Amino acid sequence: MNYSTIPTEIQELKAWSIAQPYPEWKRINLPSDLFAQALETPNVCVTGESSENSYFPMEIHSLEDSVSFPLDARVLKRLRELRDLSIVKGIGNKFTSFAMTHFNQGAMIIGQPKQHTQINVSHTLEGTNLVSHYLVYAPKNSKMEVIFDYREGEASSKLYSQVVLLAEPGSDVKLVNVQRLNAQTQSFQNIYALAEEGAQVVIGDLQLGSDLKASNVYKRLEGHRTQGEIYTLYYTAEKAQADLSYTLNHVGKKTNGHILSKGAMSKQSKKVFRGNLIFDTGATQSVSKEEEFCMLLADQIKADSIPGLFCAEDDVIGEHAASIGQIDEDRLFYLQSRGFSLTAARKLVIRGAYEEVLLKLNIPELTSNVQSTLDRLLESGREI
Amino acid sequence: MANKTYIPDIDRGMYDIVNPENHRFVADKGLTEEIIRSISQEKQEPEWMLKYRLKSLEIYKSKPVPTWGADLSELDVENIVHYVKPNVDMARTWDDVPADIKETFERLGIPQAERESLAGVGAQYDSEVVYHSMQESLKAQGVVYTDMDSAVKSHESIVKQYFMTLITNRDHKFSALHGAVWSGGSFVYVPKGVKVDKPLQSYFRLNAKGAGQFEHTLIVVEEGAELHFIEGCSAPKYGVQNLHAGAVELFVKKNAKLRYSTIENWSRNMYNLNTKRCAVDAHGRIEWVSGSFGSRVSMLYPMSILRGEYASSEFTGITFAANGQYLDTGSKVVHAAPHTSSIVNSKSISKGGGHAFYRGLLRVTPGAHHVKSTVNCESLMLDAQSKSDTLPIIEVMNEQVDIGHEAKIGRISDDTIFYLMSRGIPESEAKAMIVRGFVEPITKELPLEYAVELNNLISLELEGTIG
Repeated sequence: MNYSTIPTEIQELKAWSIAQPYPEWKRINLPSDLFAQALETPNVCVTGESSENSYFPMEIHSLEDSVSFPLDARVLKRLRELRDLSIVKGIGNKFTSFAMTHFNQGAMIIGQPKQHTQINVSHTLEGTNLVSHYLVYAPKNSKMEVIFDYREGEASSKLYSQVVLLAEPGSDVKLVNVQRLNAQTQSFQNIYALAEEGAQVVIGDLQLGSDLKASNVYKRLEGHRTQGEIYTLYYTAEKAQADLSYTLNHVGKKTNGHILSKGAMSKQSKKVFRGNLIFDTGATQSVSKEEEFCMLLADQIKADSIPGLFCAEDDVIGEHAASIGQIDEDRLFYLQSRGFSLTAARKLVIRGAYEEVLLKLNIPELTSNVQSTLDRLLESGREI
Repeated sequence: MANKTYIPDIDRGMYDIVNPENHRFVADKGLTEEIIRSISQEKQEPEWMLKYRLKSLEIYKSKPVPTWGADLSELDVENIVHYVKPNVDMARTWDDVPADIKETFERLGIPQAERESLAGVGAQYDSEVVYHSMQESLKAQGVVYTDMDSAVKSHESIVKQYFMTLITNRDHKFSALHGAVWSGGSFVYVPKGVKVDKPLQSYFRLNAKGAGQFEHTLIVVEEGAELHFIEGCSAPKYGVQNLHAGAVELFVKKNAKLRYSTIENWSRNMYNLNTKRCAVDAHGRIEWVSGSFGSRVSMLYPMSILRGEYASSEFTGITFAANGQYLDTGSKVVHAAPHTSSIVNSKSISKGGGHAFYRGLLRVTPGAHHVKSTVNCESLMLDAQSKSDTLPIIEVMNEQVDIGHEAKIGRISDDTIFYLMSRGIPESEAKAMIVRGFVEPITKELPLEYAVELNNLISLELEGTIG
């Protein structure tokens, strides 16, 4: 079979996915047994006031059959576009196509116009391999808050997740991915978001667990006057490896964007952070900025940052900044002078840094869950 | 709609004047062992240099063309003439230089600069240096400034110690090419404690059509010494390709200081694939000042290796990409020792479809603690036909560092223009002030004649492409 082009038919895509070459990444080391089949049914809990009317388990072969009501032809067309791998590249075609064609957990999550939809999808991995594929559709003038939470179990697992979001004009969407798996679980996650005119889309990506993780968030601000924010935080310790990539692509006019990332690295961990701002020709009067702050807590870390700024339009403002270094010694001294131990002082500073990201996401329940996870990480022997 | 302000391309008038070609020796096109041997024989080089050239050729043929950065698919190295020897012996006074060549350098302002403000000058025409001189007072202090071909024989032990040790023939395809066909360039040796008050300047002029220039510059600044070296280059525009794959190796010893200024103004048919590296020892300092205005394609990333404690590096550069140009430039710094510091200030202007790409590397090795570094990139785009990209790579392997990077892309702010106009400054002058202010951090570091040239080219009209 000729695999020079990416097939769109699902069965062909499945075979294509298996036939793809094994990825070779320059900056983190991938083990050789990545693409295990997902056989067991995963443990997934869906909550939220609107879950009955908004959450529809997805069939692999047919988007239309997944929901109990007819979908607009234009919407179906756009959703099918978002399953086109020539568009949705993510962390690599091998991963993205595998999640799309081998998922054992999938759903369509659909908002309601002029209504607020709030859904929490909580996954607990207990030695099962989870391959999840979600389509999130925010109709015109809808408001949605969707949290995907992947929690640690005891045993080692693998997670491959793909989330695709279509935000129609005037919609207001907050989508948060929380990864707090145990250290032995490997995690590969991809989020692709398309924002149409006037949509406001906030994406949070909280990468707290897993000692081998890759995450990619790509947001395309296609419509005029769209607003796109990506807020991320990450923590790596021991010999963890992380490859994190966040992209804002400004296509429409007068679009605004912001990428803010806070992270802490300890022990002998490695990470590469890529933050890309792309301005296409025609994205006039758009403004975007990207900031990364990385705290280094040990001397055997390897921290790579690649903040990219690509511009094909003159009438824009694009800025990026990266700051890498230790925790400010004066700040630690101040806390120690107030009775904190050095370790406690460092933990407090890290929590404070993460606080800014959590405040931007503005989900109180999420904030308390993440803080408690962080406390557990810092006190469990993976401390700084 | 906001009025736009026109920034014309650089006036290339004098740079595009072509002299009739008059050569003593011209190698065949392409790259074969026979051609390499003929070049070496023409130069009457020691055997070790010939062996190095042949080994380099072997490596060149085994390496692929890079697939990142600029599109080099149209570059046809086999159609380049790699060695063109002008029909002239090297002179020590301008009166002994043939009239047409002398006139070329007169137009470029070289003899005048030498008279007024330089301590020494080297002038290369096609593949060979045709003029070299230096003040007697510097010779008396032991400073050596000569053409590289002569240095290989007259200062063989020093040259052999340093030649292609920083930039080796294994680094990439075009350093291997350079190792095989290098010719001309300058050798400078500044002894311990000697401070050279006035700059030394080398100027490289490529006149021959379809030829390449592969000069090698080797500078050693010994402990406690200081030097400012200026490099300029140009070529007339032809309809065929020219190639520049030179190499600059700089060694700054303990407590020494070197400033290396370059204004590159190659013609728009030139592929400029130059490699520059500097190794800095303890408490030493390298300052790069770089202006990239010419060439069709440039890939140029001056690199500083800070290998001694408290070594420092500063890079100040401007890139001006106009229609038909892809200028992929930047800077690399490796902090390989504790307490080292670096500053990078890079600015670019792109207009009329030009593409300016800043590509940088900042690396901190595991043992390099207490490193401080700051990188600042600013890009000014003058129209939506142009492109401007920034891709810095930061690799940190020690926690005790303080690293900051920032970049900004945009156009001239309407608010800023309004503010100046509200203070009584006419709009055209306000725009001119803003653009001059944008490039001022670089022009103030340039040698005077280049700063004047840069300011002249940035002349503004009321109607045009800055909004």
